[in-house]
Amino acid sequence: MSADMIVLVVSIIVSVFFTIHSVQTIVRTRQRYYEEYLKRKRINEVPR
Amino acid sequence: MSKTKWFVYTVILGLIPLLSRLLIAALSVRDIKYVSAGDLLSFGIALSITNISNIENVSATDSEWKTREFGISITFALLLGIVYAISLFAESAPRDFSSRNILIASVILTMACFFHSYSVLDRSVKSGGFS
Repeated sequence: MSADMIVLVVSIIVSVFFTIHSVQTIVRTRQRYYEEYLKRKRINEVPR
Repeated sequence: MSKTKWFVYTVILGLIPLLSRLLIAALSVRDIKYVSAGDLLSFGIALSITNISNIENVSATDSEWKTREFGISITFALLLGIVYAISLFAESAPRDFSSRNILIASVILTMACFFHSYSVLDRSVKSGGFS
């Protein structure tokens, strides 16, 4: 295996791993933000 | 740093070498490459260094997350630097390295770095902001 192929394979593996991590971070952030929004909405609701 | 500031100050400014190369390649009568691995890698390095600076300035998030993202940004900067050095070798010794493979590796790494930078900024902005 030539050096450039090793670089390519390592880059692909690292990129896939960190992209999955980034997507997880974005999804968790959205979930947390939505939960906080619901909590704030519940607090602000005035009972009739 | 807001998302607009990140986009204007980091993404647009980081893409200037790439955009200017595209413009020159489109206007020139000579055979100039449209995309260069060096321009892409410098954009990726700029993103990861901005990331490190952003993570340092975040105040209200947990320290474990900060350490993890800091480590990933350092890894990205190191990898991009290594691929940049190899791309320089590939220019001087084209028989030893395939410049096509180096270009593909730099595109993939830079895209992953962009996603990572966006995810860090997204969480920083939404969970308390900066100090």
